[in-house]
Amino acid sequence: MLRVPAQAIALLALGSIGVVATVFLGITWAPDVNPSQWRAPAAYRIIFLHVPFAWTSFLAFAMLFWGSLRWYLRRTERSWRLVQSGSDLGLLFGIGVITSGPIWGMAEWGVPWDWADLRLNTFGLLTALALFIVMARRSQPDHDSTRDTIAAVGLFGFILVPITAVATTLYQKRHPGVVIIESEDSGLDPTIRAVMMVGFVSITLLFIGFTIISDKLYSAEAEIELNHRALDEINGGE
Amino acid sequence: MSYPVLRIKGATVLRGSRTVVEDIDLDVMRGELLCLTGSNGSGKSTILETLAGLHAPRAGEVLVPLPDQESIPIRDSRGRRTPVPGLSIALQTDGACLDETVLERIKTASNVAGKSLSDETIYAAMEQWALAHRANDRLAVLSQGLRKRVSILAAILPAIESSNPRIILLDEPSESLDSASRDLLHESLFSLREKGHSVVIATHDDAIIEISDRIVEISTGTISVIGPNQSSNDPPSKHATPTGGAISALARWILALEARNPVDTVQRIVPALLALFLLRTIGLDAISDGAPSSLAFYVLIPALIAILLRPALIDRLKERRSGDWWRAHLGRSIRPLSSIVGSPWMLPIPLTYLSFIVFSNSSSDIDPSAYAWLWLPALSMLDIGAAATAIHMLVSGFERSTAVAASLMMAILIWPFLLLVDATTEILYQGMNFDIGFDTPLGLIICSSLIAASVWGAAVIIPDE
Amino acid sequence: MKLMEANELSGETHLIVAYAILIGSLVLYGNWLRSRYRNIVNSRASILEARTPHPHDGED
Repeated sequence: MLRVPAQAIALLALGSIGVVATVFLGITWAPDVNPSQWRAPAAYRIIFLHVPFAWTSFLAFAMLFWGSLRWYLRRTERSWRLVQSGSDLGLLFGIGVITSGPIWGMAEWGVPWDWADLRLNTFGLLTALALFIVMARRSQPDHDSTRDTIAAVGLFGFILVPITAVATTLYQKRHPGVVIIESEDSGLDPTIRAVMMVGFVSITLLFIGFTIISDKLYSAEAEIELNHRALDEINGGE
Repeated sequence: MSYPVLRIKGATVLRGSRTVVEDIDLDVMRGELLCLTGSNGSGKSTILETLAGLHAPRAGEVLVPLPDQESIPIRDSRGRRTPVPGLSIALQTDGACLDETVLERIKTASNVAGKSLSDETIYAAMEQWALAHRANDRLAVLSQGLRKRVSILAAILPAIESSNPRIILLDEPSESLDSASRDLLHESLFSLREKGHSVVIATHDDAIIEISDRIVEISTGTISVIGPNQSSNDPPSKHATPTGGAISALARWILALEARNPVDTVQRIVPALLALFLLRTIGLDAISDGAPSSLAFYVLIPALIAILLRPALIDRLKERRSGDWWRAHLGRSIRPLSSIVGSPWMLPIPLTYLSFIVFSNSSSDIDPSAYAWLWLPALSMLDIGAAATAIHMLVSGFERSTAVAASLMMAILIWPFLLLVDATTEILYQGMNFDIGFDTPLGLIICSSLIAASVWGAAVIIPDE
Repeated sequence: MKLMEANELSGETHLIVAYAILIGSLVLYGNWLRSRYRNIVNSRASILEARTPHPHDGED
């Protein structure tokens, strides 16, 4: 019987309640911003989930990177599960960041994307990497050689992060313009900060709960695959 | 007394999810004819290819023993990799792209082996193997049996003409051969052994098994060796086999195949020209409206489209496992080399000038000397092209490489391109100047090249197989 | 509620769309985990059925 740890369920429940609370507090309790200084004052409330998503996607990408490195060096099943869960969650939270960020950008600055914004572009790149890895995992046979190539692509993707940092910095020297994400954390109102903390904690709890469950499920699926292969041999071989 | 020229030590090798052999030890001795036998699927080819360094063992290693307990690691589970010195190999498939001619194939194999053979020598050998009349025909038009003869001759001729001991690996050489060719093969094996070369053959051919010095029977993941124990000396000091010949042979191979069948060039030019003419029809308003970067963007876009596409070289390397043949001889250096030679280095400059000609009369503010310097940002596009080719090659390592979206990994190349757009804008409207800074064309081009070169470096450094 | 008074440029539409995407993606992922869980439970049941009962089971 596959048992999902009760702690994971509890974390998901708490996190979900926290997300609802964040949205509610963000809309009803967080103060309005000055309409004369902001083009789309209501849209700023996107940050209450956008920023926690960004933080959590960073955790997921770190898990993906660590798993890729560990698989590359050690080839353990546990490290492969880190790659699996890290890429799934990196894609989930990364897509959230690179959709909500441009939505806010369109509302506030009329510009959905800024090639000079280091964080936005780094998240974009890492989300593309996560999408590539998720798609590759689903389309390729699950062999050591596939996992080796995926781990290599994962490591390549992460070497691109500092290259992106240099590239966007260089580009920003020529095109300073408006940078979409950076404005949100300068001089934050304490109420706004409080709501954002609720968001942080909620999304992090969700992330931890998802990670535990994802790891369990991948472990169980690997065991089922082994059993299927054993059945293949009993029923007539390859 | 002999000595081991190649050693498998404690190796466990998987193919896909199946453990083919587990914890095996095997020495290949100098001057011996070693047979690998077993039923279909037992692992003969796997062991042969593992000896060639084509498969990374899950555990254990393949090495070349040297004096004083030293060794050259050919392949191990930690990712170390070196081509086997003095290797020639004939894979069970041809290991060659079918656009190669017979003569080219044999010459390439000889150059890779470090033996530059004269045409007379090669023709004499081809006469013996009844291939001379097909010397200038492509492998694609030959029968399976003829292609097998080519593959075997390519593997054994460098050794026949060499006085230095070599290692020859043959996978099912008798398959598809007529009886006269089989006799010739057997004679050649005797001759190779007499000259002190080591030959490892994966085969079902009883005639070859009979003449072998030792037989390795493979069954259910283990091996048993039949034959006299070879007493072993320390190997002599290693003598280096130059790989410069292999590297230049690969470069010539890539260029010759593209010249013969310019698939790569055509499939890049077509979308580039389509984009150019569509932009000319639809997009001129942006230029005449005075947006300063638009003209530079339109001038460079066709070249960008051309250089980002998947190179035909990848399909050539997958055809009949020719890439595996090259990997056996070059090891890891195949990717850096082929990503440079195989990238579309001829296209960016002509496409950029063509675009300039098509678009330049849409804007009246262009500096009169601009046309003389457009080649500079176009030249820098070569770096982006090499990086794109390297990324394509990195992701082509998947078994089902057509089922992955390589373009997801290309986004990083946007920034070098944007810097080149800036550089081109400066050149078009301010003219060229040779100061180096973040605001100057030369500085921007250098930055773009450095970023593209870093991406290229990242894509070629990380081994994936 | 303050939001109700805002004009169309204030970005409520953007806010709603962004929140819908963010929360919707979490829900979709959670559903996916749940369907995988069900698949695993069903797979285990069918494996148990398919295995031939044998007194010396455990060889594989």
